[in-house]
Amino acid sequence: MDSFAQKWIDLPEFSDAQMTNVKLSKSEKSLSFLLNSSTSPNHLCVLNLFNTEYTKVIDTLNPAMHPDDLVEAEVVRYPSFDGLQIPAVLYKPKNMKKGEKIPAIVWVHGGPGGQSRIDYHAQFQFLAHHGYAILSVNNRGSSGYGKTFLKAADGRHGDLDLKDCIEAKKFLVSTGYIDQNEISIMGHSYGGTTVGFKS
Amino acid sequence: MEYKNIKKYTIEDFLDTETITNHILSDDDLYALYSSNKSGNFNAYIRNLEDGEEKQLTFFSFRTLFLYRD
Repeated sequence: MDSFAQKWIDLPEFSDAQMTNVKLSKSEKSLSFLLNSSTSPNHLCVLNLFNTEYTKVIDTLNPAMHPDDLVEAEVVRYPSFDGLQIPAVLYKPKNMKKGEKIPAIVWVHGGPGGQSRIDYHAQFQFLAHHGYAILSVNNRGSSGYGKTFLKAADGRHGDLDLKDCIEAKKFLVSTGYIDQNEISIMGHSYGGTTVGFKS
Repeated sequence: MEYKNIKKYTIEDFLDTETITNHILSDDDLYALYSSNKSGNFNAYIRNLEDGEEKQLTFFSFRTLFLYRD
């Protein structure tokens, strides 16, 4: 909002990307921010508020790599054991042959109360690059889907949230390109604890 | 879309990504100050936004420097 002219400033659309660490400069001439997507790590960008043009000041991807070789993640939703829709971020390898069955990894984020989003994730990109599909699950108890969803696993952690992750297997098999005998589960922090409850 | 010839990258390639944690623009909008791990751990850098010239300001090798300002 231009508070002198009392009118809104139209900013460029960044589809499938996230802006974080947004700063208005002291002069109020520039907006600077970090911009990331599934195929690009946090780039430092500066946007001129007079002409709304922006420049990528620092490209943080390894210069030896090209974003087109990386996997664009997509958000999917699948029904859990009780019908609740579970959002998840899917990384599907790029160079799959027709009819090929590939292994998959279900990833459980930390928290409880964290969220998997479409941002650059070197580990997922590496695995997808080498032929694994990754499904990063936002089981009930995750942030970003309202208070009811966030509190839906309260008192039942390690049970309901884990069931949401286990149901991911049915979704993966339903895609038609996942080998149902080659599905594994891993997680970080509380996600690792969740995975531990399964064994 | 099908991509036939994808270059094969190693884990080292993926780990060679630079991370920027926080940044600040100078009051005259000419410089960006930021913390980056390109040296191996986080240090402070300043970049001229007009000519792109970058200068490393701190040289810690076993400590981490994060910028912080509200």
